[in-house]
Amino acid sequence: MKKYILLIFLAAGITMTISCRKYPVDEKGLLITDNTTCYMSSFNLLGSDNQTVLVTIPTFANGLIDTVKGTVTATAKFGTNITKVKPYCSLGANDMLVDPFMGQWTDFTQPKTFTLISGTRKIKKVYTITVTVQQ
Amino acid sequence: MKKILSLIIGLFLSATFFVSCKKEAKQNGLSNQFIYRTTEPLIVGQSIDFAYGMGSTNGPLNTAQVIASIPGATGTLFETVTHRTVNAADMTTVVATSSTTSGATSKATLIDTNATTLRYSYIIPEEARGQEVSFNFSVTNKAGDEASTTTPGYKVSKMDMARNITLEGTASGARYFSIADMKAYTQAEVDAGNISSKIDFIYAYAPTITPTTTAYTYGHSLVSPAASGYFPAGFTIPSGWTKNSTLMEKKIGNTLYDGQLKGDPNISIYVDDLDLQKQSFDGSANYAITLANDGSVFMKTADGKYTAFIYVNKVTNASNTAVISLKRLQNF
Repeated sequence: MKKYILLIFLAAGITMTISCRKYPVDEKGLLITDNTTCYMSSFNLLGSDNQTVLVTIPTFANGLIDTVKGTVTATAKFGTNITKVKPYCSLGANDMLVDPFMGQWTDFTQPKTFTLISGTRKIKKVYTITVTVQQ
Repeated sequence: MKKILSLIIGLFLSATFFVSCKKEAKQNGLSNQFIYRTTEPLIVGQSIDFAYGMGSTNGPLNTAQVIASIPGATGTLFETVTHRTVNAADMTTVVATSSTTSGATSKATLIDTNATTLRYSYIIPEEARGQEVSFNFSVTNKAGDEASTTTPGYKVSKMDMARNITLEGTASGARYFSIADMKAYTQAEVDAGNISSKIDFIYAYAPTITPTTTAYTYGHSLVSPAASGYFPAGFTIPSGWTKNSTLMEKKIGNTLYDGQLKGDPNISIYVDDLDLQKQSFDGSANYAITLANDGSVFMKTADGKYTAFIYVNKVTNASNTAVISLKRLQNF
């Protein structure tokens, strides 16, 4: 009987230890995980009407995103007000970060750089995004 | 025990009876109640609609009256009929012999009835722009009883509205638009009146535009006179004209509607004063191309005097036309 009680306490102790494992958080309160994934899978730009302004959505698959060179090449439709567009992207993992934040009005008349950061916060990759408007 | 239980039940039922039978606004055998029927922003020239219900337990009704805090414009009146719905159809019955409005007071004389509901329509006058307006409804019966009720204050918008203006994209068509006048002009009219400085945008239609060598989709577009690179082939603005640069923020129907401009009472989404006041034009373009039905554009005139919301009711490729409606707020 004593043996069983000891075993139960032991199991409970192990369970508590595992379940109470805490991931550290960064200065913004976001979890720092074990995930080393760090790439951009697609990119989009929205205009003031919340519609895409791009002729083709750049993805890793269509080659418009080069994850080795860290470049995104996009073409915006004729008439796009490229000084005021909102960038969005898909990331390789949910726990990645983008710095600076996307989703804000941004002037893309010049190439813009964004740094992708892995869940571990130890891998950082700079992407340069170049957008040209149809002329 | 049984007695106590019966007593408690009896007490409870009496309390329920008294609470549920509480009557609002019943005065001297008369009851009256209003329903505010308008859901839209209140704009000068439009109506504020009420249904005024009256009931008498002391003989037939005599008169219904409403006094507005600001006299209404022409058309302010009680209806002389009461409405009901039969098999989804609106049916009316005449319940008043006369309906008059004099100054702020509208009055209806009721035919022999003890209870009815009348609609009251208040046409918002220019004097009410930006003001609060309230209404005092009252009813009398033939026994001389009187009952009344007062509405809260309703804030009238500062903006103006114009609907269903047809723009024609041909050389001689009314394609030059003035937000200040809320009107489209032909080139001859602009020249004759020397009013090019009032033109805020020009309507143009072409399936495509070829700025250099490649053709791109163009469609129905609203373009500032200053945005010379965004007019279709062959289009020029006379050299002597003032070329205003109007700031434009294009929107689209699936994200922004306006039930009043669309003319659809089932869309309870509206652009109000606040939307026009808060709209930012930082970094905005001075053109909006490829517009379609239900498209829209927020605009700010070059002098900053007006902010407008332009709604595209309908575009027609074959006739080179667009029907637009707008709301406009004067900033200073």
